[in-house]
Amino acid sequence: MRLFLGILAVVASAAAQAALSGISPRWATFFDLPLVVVIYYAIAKGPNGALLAGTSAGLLQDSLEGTLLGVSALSKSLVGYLVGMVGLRFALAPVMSRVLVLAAATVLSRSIEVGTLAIMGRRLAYSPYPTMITTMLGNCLLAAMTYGALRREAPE
Amino acid sequence: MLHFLRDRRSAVLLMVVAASLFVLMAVQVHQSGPVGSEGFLLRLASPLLRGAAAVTGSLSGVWNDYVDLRGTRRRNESLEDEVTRLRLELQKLEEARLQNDRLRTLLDLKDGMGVPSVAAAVISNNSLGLTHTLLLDRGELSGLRPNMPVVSSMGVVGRVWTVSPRVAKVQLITDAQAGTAVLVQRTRVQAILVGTGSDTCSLQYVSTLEEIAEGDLLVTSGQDGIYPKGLPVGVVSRLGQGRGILRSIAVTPRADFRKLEEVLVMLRGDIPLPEAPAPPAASAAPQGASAGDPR
Repeated sequence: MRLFLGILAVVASAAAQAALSGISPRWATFFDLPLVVVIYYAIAKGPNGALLAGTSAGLLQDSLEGTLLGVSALSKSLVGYLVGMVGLRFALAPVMSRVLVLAAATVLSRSIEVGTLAIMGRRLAYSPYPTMITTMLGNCLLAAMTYGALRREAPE
Repeated sequence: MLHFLRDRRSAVLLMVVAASLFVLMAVQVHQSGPVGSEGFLLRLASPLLRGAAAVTGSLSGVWNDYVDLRGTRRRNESLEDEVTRLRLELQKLEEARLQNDRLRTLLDLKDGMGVPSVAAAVISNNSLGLTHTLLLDRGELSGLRPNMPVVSSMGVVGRVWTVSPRVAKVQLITDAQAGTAVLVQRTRVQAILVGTGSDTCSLQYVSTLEEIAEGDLLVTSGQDGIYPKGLPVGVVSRLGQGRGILRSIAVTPRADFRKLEEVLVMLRGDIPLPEAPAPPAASAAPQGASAGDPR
């Protein structure tokens, strides 16, 4: 059941991100919903679960958004794995610490995407850094609301 | 070796995944197009994507409707404010137009009189009180003196009764103590018009033998030494039998005192100031008939 819910959350977040882009591309830049889900799983389930969640969420996101397939998957799997490892060594129970980890993860994930695209010889149409900051802020806001609510709902 | 890999299963998994993804990306770059797995993933996610799009589309619709409604309300309020402001402006303009008309009429009257005069605004109207008086915003400093005639575009209003430096009190011809020497324009019959304290005046000392009819216009005769000859005063509105040889005649003043806003004071310097009301002559046309004290 938990696995099913996890898969559903990953797929739903990717679909919601794509749908949000369809409605308002500007608003979509404020969030990276699959990353929020991946980081939650990374903290809750550890690096292996985060790796799978990040890979699958990133592949879905890439296929739905039309970017180079694998870019988001690579960044999310790497970041998810890293956060999962950090979660094993440090206590990330407080919501605020999770939010801060998500902020760092957002920056890292976007940096990996930019770097990967550069390695693959793809030029960026615009500077990613302003978007990176807005995405980080949006993700943190969303995480502050959802992580707290999820913790109350299912205390670990 | 196997032991090493088992210990670092997560790291190995990560490396495998990362390498696979790199290969996937490299293939795409090399092919310059999508790979087959992309179509599969798209098919997999499309039902969810459609569902999410439908939900978000509905939410977006609701939100847009809400925003539109708020915008419409704001616009409505703004338009209502503007309508109110424009109505007030229109009222002001209409008021200005009416005042302009009145002042123009007054100016025409002033030009036609051939007598120096001063326009004054009515600042207090007591035409329905015990004493029928007006207060004007002009006084001694504007040249006003007691007993100067006060007229409007419609006819005689009354006379200046008392003056202060900046304000003057006017006794209306309808005041119970007022008297005006008049003549019937059509038949030239002379008489005295006295106020009754109501809306109408009474024409006195008119014999039953004199020819007079309802609707006849009365004008000042100039015999009272206050009003110059020929100013319209009022219209005969009702003929009664009266007592003996004198008729009872009601006269409605031409000017509507309740609606007076501006008047003209005729600056006549040679007006005698009667000390007391002249005693009414019972038979003849009055000579020097004047008003009494409205107090």
